Amino acid sequence: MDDNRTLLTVGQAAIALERSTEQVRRYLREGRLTGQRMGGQWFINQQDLQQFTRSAREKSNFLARVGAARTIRPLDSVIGIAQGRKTDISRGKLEFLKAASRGSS
Amino acid sequence: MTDSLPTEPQAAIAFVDSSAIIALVDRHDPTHEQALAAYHELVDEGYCLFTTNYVIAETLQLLDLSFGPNIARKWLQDHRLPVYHADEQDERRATARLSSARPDSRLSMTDTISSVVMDRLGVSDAFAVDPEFLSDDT
Repeated sequence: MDDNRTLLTVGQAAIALERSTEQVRRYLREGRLTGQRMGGQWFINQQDLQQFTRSAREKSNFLARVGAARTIRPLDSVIGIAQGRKTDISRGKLEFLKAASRGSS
Repeated sequence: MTDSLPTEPQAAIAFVDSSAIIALVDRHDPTHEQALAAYHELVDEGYCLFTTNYVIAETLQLLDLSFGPNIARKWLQDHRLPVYHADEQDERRATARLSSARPDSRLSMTDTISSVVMDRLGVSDAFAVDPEFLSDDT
């Protein structure tokens, strides 16, 4: 049998994730963990649980490499380096490009 | 069997879209001051900011076409945004989402990759001023 198709209860998922059942239900309610309701109870596909764990690990690993913006100040040195002419990026990127090409023609 | 979940990171994380970068870079953009205030708020609140390799390419193109190659290269050289590199899985998912998007949708591949990566990393906060990006379509 394909193990990835196995449906787990909230209790089983909580054991696998080393989290409380309340925490797992919160993940499900928030849509962070995909589940399905049957007979008023949540069930989680093994594959979805693995995907959820993978995402959490990737996020954790990525964050560990990123560092806080307070420390690296990622955009400080590029603030105000350009002076646009009648462009407004809040109107969308396509509109922005159209306005930019009108300004340069 | 599923491995246990890693400890949840304490720091908040936000994705940075090219529209926010343009608003910061262009001091004459109508949203410049707003974007600047939002950026300082994110920094002061201890956020980790990141973007994708797709956004880097898109930003470079937008800057080049609107302000010229010198500004584009200066930005590329001077920004210090951490970059998440979208992989084949991200691209497959983005392609599927784009294929099933509404016919009138203006979403770009870059926007869709951004959305896929945010989902993948469990990131819900984005720094953007583009209405297309901020729409529910992404």
